[in-house]
Amino acid sequence: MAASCDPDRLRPMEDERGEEDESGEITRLLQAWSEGDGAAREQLMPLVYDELRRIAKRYMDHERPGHTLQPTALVNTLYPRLVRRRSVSFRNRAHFFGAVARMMRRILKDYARKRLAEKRGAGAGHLTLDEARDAFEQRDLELIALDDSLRDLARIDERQSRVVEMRFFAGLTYEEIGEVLGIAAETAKRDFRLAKAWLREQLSAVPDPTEDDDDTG
Amino acid sequence: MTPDERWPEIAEILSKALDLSEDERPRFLAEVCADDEALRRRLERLIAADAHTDDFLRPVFSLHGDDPEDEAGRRIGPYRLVRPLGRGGMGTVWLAERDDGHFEQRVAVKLLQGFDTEEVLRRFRAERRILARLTHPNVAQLFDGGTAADGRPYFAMEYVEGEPIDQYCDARGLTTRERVRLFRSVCAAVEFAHRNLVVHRDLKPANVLVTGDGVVKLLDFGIAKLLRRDAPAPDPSATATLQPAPMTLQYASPEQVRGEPVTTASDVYSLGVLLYEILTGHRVHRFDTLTPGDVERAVCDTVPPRPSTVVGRPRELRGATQAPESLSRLRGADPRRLRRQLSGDLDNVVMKALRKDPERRFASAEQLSEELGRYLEDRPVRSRPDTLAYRAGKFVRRHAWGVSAAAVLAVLLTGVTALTVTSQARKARLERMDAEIARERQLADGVTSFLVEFLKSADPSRTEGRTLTIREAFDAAVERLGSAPELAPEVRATLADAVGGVYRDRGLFAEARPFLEEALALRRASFGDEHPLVAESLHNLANLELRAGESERAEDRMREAIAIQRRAFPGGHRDLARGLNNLAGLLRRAGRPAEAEVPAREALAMRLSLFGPDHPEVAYALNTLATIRKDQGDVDEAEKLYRRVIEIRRKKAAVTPELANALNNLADLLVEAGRPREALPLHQEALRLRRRLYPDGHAQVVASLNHLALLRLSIGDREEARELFAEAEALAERLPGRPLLDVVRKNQALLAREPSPPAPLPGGEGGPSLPGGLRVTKP
Repeated sequence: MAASCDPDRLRPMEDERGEEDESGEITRLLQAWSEGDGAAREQLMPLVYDELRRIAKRYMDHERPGHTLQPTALVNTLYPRLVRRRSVSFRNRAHFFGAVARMMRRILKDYARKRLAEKRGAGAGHLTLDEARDAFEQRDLELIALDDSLRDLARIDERQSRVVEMRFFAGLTYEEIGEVLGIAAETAKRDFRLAKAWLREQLSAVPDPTEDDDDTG
Repeated sequence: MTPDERWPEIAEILSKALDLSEDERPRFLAEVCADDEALRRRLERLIAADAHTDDFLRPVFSLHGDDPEDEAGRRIGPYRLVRPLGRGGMGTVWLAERDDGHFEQRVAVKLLQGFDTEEVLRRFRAERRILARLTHPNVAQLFDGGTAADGRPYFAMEYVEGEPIDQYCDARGLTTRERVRLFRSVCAAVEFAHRNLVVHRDLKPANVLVTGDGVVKLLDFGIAKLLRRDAPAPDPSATATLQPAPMTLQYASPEQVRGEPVTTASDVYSLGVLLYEILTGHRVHRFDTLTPGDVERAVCDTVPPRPSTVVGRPRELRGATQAPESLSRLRGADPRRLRRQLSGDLDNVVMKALRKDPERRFASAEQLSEELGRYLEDRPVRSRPDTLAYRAGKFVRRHAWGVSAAAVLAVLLTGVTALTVTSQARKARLERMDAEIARERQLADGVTSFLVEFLKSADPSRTEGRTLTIREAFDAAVERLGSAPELAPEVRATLADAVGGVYRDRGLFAEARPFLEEALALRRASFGDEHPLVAESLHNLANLELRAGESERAEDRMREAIAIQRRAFPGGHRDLARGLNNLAGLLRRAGRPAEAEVPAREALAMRLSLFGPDHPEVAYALNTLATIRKDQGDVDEAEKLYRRVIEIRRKKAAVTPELANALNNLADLLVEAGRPREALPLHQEALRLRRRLYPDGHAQVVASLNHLALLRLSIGDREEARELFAEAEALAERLPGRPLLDVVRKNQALLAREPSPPAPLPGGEGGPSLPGGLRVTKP
């Protein structure tokens, strides 16, 4: 009998080959966390941090210079890595990305400082925007200036500073920011608008981003 | 920097000022600041800073998507975003204007999120020339692609002002015929793209717009390919806007859902889904949840109700129920009329497009369109209800009847499959003879309805929960056959052939013979002595005679059948190849391997040229030849051939009975060649496969356990052997008919013998030969 009746062909029963990708562990931990495993969060964050750092490095090294810095584009790159394989549900999404925002900010700032320091030599003194010789430097300087200003803002209005951080560095919606900070979305939106005006005012003044830049790199 | 101590107070005022209109602000500031000039200047600066629109601190996107107004006016490449047109899991589509001072052009800009920009653009560059060639009145053209300033990839394409095809049809109350006519434009666009080597991959109403002038425009051709792999997996628990719209899964073909290669056939499937929805207003699938398992089950396993059936049911969508009456009214009909319009031709066409197996759908969008053209012209369509082989395959899986029933059905279906094949061959010759087509159709329909009746009668739900034995159901069906004189002789012949085959394969040779002989006689009378169906009947009788021990008569019949087939198919044919292969098997079993080798090689060569190197039927032929070579003592060639069989079958699917057989055959060869250790993993794998194939047990599992036990014994693993024998015995006792129980018990007795120390294995190879146990050989 040569004819084959093979109904199983319609439904391959092949062993699922677990696709090895670096985000598998992150995905698993996210899943565990979303299911209430608090310890998973502890393990998760360092992994996310490393992943973000890789993304940031690639972005900072390869993106065309002259672009306005858009950290959310970086987090944007992280996102599909997190959810690529199987469904990941996590009610704490907002809190998670709130934490991601902070990490992203730190990674970008450290990276910018390190690169500037390498460029100028360890003994580099204060830099001004005029001295920035290329677009990469420009962007690094802006980033450091922003980080510094956000720190200043935190001293006078911690909440506004956090709102900017979450929105700019991780693209959270106002609803999500409100969720993290326990405020109304409208309030988050208002905070962002005010903080933005304040930051612009500060940054268009005299940014001296390297004022405490003596122990990095 | 000194802390800005006044900020809390200033922020409060600023917030109020920003809430006011620009006209009101000066008065407000004057009032609030009074004579604090510094404060007023500061506030003015801040208000100016707020009014400044650029990308400062602008988030590129929101993970959940919101605030589209934040992006309006933004520049993306040479375009300026005007207003959002739509938002989905992959990003936002904007109406945009070309903004380079050269000329005004309105385009749709698709801003993506969640993709690896470099990768997407690399693919875009690779495909750009092909996509640029895609100019067709029904295809929205892709103009451009690039990176937005923030690093997101974007595509610019022709802006189409229109509405999704399903809404368009409903809004205008188009009738079934009008819908079919409109849908043919969709087919034309898809066909055009396919000819230009572009597969859409994501056909759905949102991508099939109809303009106010009634012109169909397909969006996003080729885009899905550029975005493949990076698309976030459907995430049922995520907020709706995050995931790719879950509805897309409605249109995804089984192969897409399983992540298998996508071809033009996948688009044909999606067209089927689209047509189904347009015609019925119902969705093809109902997903209980969006977990991958449920989706895969629905898309890959569940055959949707036929369009004519489903329109009699209310539609439930997102909690809202729509009565059949209102769905019909949108189509200018009432439910009964709509059912009549859809039943038959349109049912068959839609269901053919929706077949799970890509190879069994329409070969192209054009063919689908041609069928619809025939429907519109009231000419007979050529699509047939899905073959019984498929449906019964489903049925067998759904109702765990036990394996003997499945085996019987498989044989029953073999007959139907052969009929289909032959009919197709004839059809090719007689393509334009409508009368002939109608006749074949009648034949196929007659056979199908009879067999479906048979299957239904065995369906427990129809027998008040009592499961009919297969024999009862079958005898009832046969009785019906006897009392159905109205059947056309061709139909009766086909049925008699199938029935005879079933009896034969259950070992009821006396019952089988009259049916097979009747089929032969009817076919000779209907078609003449030289017809391929006569050859088929001869083969079937030969098969009976062979099993009944009348191998000389069987050989004569086979040779007669082959002679007919050679004349009918001078260029070779799959049926002829099958005949040759069967003859080879017969001769081998008759102990004439040298004679067997000739037809075996011919069958193999014919199948290779007909089907290419990796076809399942090639594997059968290789298997036959391998067994013959083994009988002739050529272990090397036999091994090579068996390994090739395994390779082919592995490629096809990892868990099939055929693969298990092939592993078993090679293992046997290796055991006989004195290489039991090499045979061990093969027998183990065969056992594993059979356990998975037959979770409720099967003679094949007993056989595998027996093989493995003997093998273990032969290499001195007495404990394993003991356990395997025990399991084999227990299983054999449990199974109906107690298959192989005697064999297992005889072999088990070997355990009682004096345990001999394991013989040394020189060079790790060539262990002791098997103890004189009985082995179960595969035919």
